[in-house]
Amino acid sequence: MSQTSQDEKTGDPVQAVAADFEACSRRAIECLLNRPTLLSKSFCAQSQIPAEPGIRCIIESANGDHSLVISLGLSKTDLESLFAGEEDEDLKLDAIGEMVNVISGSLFGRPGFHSRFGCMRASIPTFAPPSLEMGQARTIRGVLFVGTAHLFLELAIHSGTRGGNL
Amino acid sequence: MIIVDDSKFLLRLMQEYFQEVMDFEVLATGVNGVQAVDLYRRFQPDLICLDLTMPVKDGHTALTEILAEFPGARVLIISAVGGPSILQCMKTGAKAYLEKPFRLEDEEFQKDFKSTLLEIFAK
Repeated sequence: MSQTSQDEKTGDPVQAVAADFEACSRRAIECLLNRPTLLSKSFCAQSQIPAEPGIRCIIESANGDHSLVISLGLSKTDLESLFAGEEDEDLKLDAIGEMVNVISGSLFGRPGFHSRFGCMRASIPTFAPPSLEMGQARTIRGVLFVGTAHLFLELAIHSGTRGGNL
Repeated sequence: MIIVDDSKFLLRLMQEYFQEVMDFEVLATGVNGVQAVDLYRRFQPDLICLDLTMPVKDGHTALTEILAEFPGARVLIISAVGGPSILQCMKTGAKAYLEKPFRLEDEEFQKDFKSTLLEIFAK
């Protein structure tokens, strides 16, 4: 039985979109950087609090039933290695923001995601902490390598309206 | 042509691509919908590439305003947001759309994109 089928059977809608989140993340990053990604840690639902990376870009979204936060984190050293030779600091952060923007847009358009979580509209990428209350969220985490850089991807989904609307 | 996208990183990639690979003259770039409308009025280009999710004024609002003033405008929507938002833009009058992410260096992409541009200019 495939992992996706098992996820459907156990009724975990968050884990069920882990493969979509991984695929969207890898494709967005590979296209924007024109470099391959390698999977460092499989994308799966986790409960432990990860080590906080130095730089974290987020996009938030909420509808009447669900709130979510998508984030991409990396260290300052890894940001430099991704854009070696680039002197414009704003441009490096802007590229990270565009990665999160493309990941969220691609993910929200996936039928498997849409059927489980409904229509979502992404916020503008920001490097500030999330404004939504996500305390009880289920979170998919994964880590990708691009060269030597580690990129920490997270998709946190909170079901119910407690997170509020954006 | 004009390119409007709130990502300066993507703007730079696209500007290089359109100028060096596609042989377009990029007259100006902008980062939000207000600039899109202003730049269109000022340059009235053959083509404008427009992102959808942007601050200040979004791409669909800018598209609507540009077409109200210039009904023949050739607008190519470039966005990561698929589905209903793209359909809405096509109904409003966008000539075509390109879904992010794309690999500008990819030969297949370049072939498809050239066909799309030919269709836009044939309309």
